[in-house]
Amino acid sequence: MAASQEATAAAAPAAKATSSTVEAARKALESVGGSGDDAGSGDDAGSEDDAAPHGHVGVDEHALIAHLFSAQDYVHLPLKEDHLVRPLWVCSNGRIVLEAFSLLRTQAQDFLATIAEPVSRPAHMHEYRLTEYSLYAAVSVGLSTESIIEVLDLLSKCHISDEMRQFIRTHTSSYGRVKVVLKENRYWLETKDDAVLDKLLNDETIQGAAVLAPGMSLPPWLRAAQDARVAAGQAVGVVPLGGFEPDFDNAFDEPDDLDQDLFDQLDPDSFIAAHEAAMAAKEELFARAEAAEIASRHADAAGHAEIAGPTRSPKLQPRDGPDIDIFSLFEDGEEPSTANVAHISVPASANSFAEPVCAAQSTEQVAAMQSVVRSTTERELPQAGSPLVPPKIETKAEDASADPASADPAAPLAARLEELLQHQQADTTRTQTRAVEIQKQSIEVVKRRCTDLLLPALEEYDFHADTTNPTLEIDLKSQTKLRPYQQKSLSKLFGNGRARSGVIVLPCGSGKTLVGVTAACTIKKSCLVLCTSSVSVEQWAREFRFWSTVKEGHLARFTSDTKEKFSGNSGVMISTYTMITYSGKRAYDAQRLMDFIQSREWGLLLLDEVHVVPAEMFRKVFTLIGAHAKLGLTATLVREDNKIDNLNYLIGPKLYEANWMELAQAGHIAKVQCAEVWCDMTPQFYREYLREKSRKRLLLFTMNPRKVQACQYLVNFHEAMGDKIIVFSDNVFALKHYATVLNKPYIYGGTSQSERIRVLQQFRFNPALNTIFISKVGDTSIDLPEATCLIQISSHYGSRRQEAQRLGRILRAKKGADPGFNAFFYTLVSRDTEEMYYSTKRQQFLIDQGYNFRIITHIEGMDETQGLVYSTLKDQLELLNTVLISSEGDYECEPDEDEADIDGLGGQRLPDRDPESDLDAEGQGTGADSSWLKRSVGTMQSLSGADSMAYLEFSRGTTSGLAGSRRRKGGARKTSAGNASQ
Amino acid sequence: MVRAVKGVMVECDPAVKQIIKDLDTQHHFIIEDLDETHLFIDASKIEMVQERLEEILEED
Repeated sequence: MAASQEATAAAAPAAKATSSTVEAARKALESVGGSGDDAGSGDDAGSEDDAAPHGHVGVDEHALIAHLFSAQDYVHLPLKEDHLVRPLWVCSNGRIVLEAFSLLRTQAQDFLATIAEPVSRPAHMHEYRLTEYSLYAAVSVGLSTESIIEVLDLLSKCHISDEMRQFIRTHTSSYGRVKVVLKENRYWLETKDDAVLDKLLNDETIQGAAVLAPGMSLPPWLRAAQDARVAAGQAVGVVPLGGFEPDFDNAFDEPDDLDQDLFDQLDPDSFIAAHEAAMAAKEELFARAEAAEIASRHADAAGHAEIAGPTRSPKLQPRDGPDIDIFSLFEDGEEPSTANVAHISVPASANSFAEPVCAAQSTEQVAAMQSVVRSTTERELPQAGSPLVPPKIETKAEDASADPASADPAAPLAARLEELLQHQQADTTRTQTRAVEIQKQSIEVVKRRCTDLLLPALEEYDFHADTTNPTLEIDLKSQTKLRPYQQKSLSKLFGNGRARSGVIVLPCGSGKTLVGVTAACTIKKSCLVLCTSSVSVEQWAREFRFWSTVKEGHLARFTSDTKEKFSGNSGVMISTYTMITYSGKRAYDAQRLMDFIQSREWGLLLLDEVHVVPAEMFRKVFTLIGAHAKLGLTATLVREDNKIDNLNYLIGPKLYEANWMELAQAGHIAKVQCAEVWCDMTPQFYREYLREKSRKRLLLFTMNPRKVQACQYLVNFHEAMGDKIIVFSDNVFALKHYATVLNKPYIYGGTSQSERIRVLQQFRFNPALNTIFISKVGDTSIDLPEATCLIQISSHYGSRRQEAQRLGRILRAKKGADPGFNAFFYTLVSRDTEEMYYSTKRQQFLIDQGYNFRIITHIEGMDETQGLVYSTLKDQLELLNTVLISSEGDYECEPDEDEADIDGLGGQRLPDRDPESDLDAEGQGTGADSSWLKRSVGTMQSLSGADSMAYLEFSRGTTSGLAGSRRRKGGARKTSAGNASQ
Repeated sequence: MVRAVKGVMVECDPAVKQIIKDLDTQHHFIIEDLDETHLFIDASKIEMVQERLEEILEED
């Protein structure tokens, strides 16, 4: 038994990117030797006995493994003795494979989510990758280099290679050492390391930018203590942070120091067996009880003696984020008693997060956000009161009932994990923070210089201390409840009472907007929201009104239709990317509003659907707008052109990424059954497909009559089941055709705003209308919570993002807690065409998120169904003819509203594109069948279309004006043409 | 006088049949188009057809 586990175990880290390959590898191994052993690996003593009889089978197998995995062959890696309870495989190239069925799964998962990028997360095996950026992100939420390595080593089945250690050290040591903090409208460069400080100060650029002669206007808490060690530094205004304010409630800080002492006594490097952990835990409990007592009595003398050593700024409690997270995770975990061990030393860190926010906001909802933190603290107290109960004993009892074989060793591992993380925290509190003030105008130069010096600066916003910017009266409404993952993502954002800049990745439909609204309510400063289209501007405005107490006058929208300004000196402004970055001449009112936006300082810049926006656009946004904190929100952080990395520089690291499958399990998003339906091409269509080149092919395989039939069948089937169906097609020609044939309403780029709203309202509330056809315009941000079924008939080549965004339309959690699937996602694919290739590519993102695509080659019962369209050869040929004679313009995909504009392809058009091009196209279309020729009597002036032109003046700045005039001119031309032919 | 041509009957799915017919426009080897899934083609060109077909299927 041990040997076979050995074999499969060895295969796992070597597997390729997807779980299917892992499966394949397992099968391959099973078919060869079943219980063979890898002869070459340095096994532990336990399995050596088993290995002996299988001697040469092992050799063959090793050869096979080496052949199958070539460079990815990790058979030689020695496993640790107790590798069965450790959940991770850490390969030397940065790949980390997690056994998602392990007992330590939740802990490991959360740790990995912090330090690594998730690559693929199907049901049983997860793959992560350690990258430069993921490590930056880890540091930015407060993990230290050594704790990353130690925890990783703790969880790993094999020993971590030196390359890995080196990699982690290289990338974590430099990042986060320097922080740019904006306080009271002044920029400060902060660091905890003298060496770093020296390096910075010796740099000419930074020297030039530093504010000389400090002291005069220093905030009081900065003035408190001066350190002789930075005598040289004083010349350029270096001030050690960390004088202890006597009036500051030090109850929160004391326990921390006690912890430190405790840890000094313990030997952190020895591996702790179960009873040792129990002892440590007991000791800690006593210490904690003591600490609580001390704190409650405010025992000054003793307390101050303790504190004197590690000076610490009361307002700068660094590195709390991850701890909170890990602890909250332990709470959710399945091992309640291990969680208890975890809680023992929480309060210092927990409170330091809870306290500043608390002070600022006393409302219930914020309490909800912190409930995780609070409950941690509270639960700890009763324990401290009865320290005689050793928590470890509980652990054993409970775990034993769960899984007697493997639970026991898991417990000390968890305990050790805790200890390491605490250790790391205690470590960091000992250091001092030093700050250099930087002149405001040269902050960009300094930041760039820091990056050149390999000390990339972290940006933080101390919004409590910011008194210059007026506070906005905004709170979450009391009935607003945040879901656990939303709290988690926010706790990373506000990790130490300051706001970080970064990106939060949550699936569509999981409440990204609420996260944004809560962030705005926490910072309580003016907030600028940028989204991709005017429809989502409306949605954001609605959400702000729904979730928060923002006053009507404080909420303003800036689109081409609505140009509002908030009353008072702070407020929430919602606009689109293209509105802000538009570089052409603006209308007068737009220009005035733009000046207003540019002239002020924004507390928070919320960037919705951050993945669609290219780097150039962001640079422009950031040069135009002064914002303290930047928060990007997205569901799909993938781009086919790999420009995602730019976000790391422009906005900040990825702070949080949710696991789709977990949210689906918890019922926060719908459980979706994905299916790919293969439709045969009819021989006639396929013949034409082979003859045609590239572009028209697309139309041919989209218009495949079998596909139309499949679509019709699925629509009928799901309508009968009571589902609301959205059919997506990128191709407008196909969209119109399908919709007309099936007699359903459709929305595309040319549909007017009012028409769109009418159709969507009908779809949402009219039980008689259950199906709508939508083109690309519906890909993102259209919120249709009622939709439960989605059929995709044509798509944008191999865009993974589009696939995921479309799936997002049906992800919003459905009512009725059905244990099975409650939403359906079909992709119709014509067999033997290019579509097959694209379809595979598109699905990759969702597969990485753990979705399974079922392939349906034949729809059961479709052949017997009567009344399907195009069932006769004659109809099919007719359709083929229609397709073949269709003009160039028809099979061109409609230019994407958001993307064409935002990807910079569409040049500088306004976001709310006037549908002129579509109207023109339509004009041509109608011109083909109903003639423009018409007999009428009139003056020469009116016949030539000059009737209305004499006294009209067009405002040239706005699109609507332009479009109007051009259309009229076009009309005039056509009429005169008609005249001539008369 | 009766002319005898040696041929091979090929069975394939409708899609492949279309590909073969497409090839036929250049090389002319189909003797008779039998039905949806069957073709009767010149025996001397069968190897060439097989090769070309493999190439095309490989591409996709």
